[in-house]
Amino acid sequence: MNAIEVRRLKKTYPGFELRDISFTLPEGAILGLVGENGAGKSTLIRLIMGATGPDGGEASVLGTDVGRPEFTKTKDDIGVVLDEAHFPPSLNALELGRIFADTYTRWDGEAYASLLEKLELPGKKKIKDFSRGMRMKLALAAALSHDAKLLVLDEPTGGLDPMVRDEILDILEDFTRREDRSVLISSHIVSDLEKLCDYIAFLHKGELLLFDEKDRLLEEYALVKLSERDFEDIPKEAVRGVRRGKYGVEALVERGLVDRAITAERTSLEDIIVFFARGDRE
Amino acid sequence: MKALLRKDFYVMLTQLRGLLLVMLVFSVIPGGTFIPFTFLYTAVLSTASLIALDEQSRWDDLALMLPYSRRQLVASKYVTGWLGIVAALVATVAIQYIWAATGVAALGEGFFTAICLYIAIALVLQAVTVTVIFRFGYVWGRIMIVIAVAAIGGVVGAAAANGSTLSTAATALNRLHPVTYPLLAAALSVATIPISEHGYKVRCEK
Repeated sequence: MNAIEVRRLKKTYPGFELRDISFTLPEGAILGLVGENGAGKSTLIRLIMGATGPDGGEASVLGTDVGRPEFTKTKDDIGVVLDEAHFPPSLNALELGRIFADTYTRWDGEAYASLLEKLELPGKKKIKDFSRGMRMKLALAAALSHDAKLLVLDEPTGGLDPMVRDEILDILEDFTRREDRSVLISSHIVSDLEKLCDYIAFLHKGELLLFDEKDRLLEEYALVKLSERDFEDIPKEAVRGVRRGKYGVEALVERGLVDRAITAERTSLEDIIVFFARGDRE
Repeated sequence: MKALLRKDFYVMLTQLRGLLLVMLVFSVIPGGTFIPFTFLYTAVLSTASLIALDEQSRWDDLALMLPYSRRQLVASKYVTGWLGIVAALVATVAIQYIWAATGVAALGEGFFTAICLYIAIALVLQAVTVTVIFRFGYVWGRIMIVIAVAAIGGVVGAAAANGSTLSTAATALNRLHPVTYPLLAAALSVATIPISEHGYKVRCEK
């Protein structure tokens, strides 16, 4: 069973369109959804979670069509963390635990209490007095305390200091040790995703420009630095993005389509994303 | 549903304490003059405030992704409002009977009828408020409710100017047993749940 299947998903808002998004996330895999602010990451997550309906296409999560009433039950197997905690600010972590105990059929109060302790979150302090990092850790503790098979995280590390970000990424790594657990995590911090993900999806202006296994992307693409004249000899179909400078041309190329004699540097995920976005501009 | 009611209960206890206190004060004043406010405050303001607080904290965005159906999300607000009305009823009746028993203030002749009427009005207003807010959100919903109340006020004012219209309505109401008022209002309230659910769905699509 696939964790997430999305087929030709469309959603239109005034001034924004999410166009024909299709991808499949196998069970046990971690997908990083990358994209600039306003690229449509949160809209895609809302569609995948059935919070809003699509204008076209379909999505299924853990084998259930998200538009069907049964999906409410399926959400028992999904942990959700949004860009802000979105909990009533006047509550505390203990009250929140009681609410989730009535929400999830497999809520594990002991696991929640031990996560609160591990993450140094006070039980009786009001959420409104938590820092952003504490609120995100609380959201993560709640999402990890009901034996979820899939975690959906929308920008969980945005605006956090590197230490908290690292702590959150460690927790996510722990979560995925079991093979049947999958993660969809969106972020515009590519380095976070590079550490964690098996698959990368790059959403740009409502369009899915890229979806592939991370290792294959790093294997398939390379950076070349050439003079303007040498660059003319590179087959156009090999070029995915170009950056022109005073001293020549830097381009992201498909390794297999470029003459082996040309020196190609190993690239990073961040470079791939940036060049794909530049390619779109050019 | 239990989780949503629990959440609303906690939020009411922590963030709407002032509102609950006002409700209690209105119900405690001897003589019953302020009892209508007890019900209106509880039914309309507490429910509307809970929805507003959900929007403010964006709990409503998160709740749509948790294992609650849209119907449960909508119905829980109705149930919270109904429980509020029951609480207001218990508090009001108990306190007013205590005043009567201790000789502080006698119960008026039409106390029972009046209570039935207040409950009915509270249920209707709560149903209208919730339906409008679920469709348009708290900010726009509140504006629309103010316009609607002004329009209703105009209609009632016009009816009052034409005394016979008002007395016809009063005669029609008098023919019914007082218990019928809240029962009819409760039926109307339940009937608006699918309308609210549909309105909420439409709003979520935008």
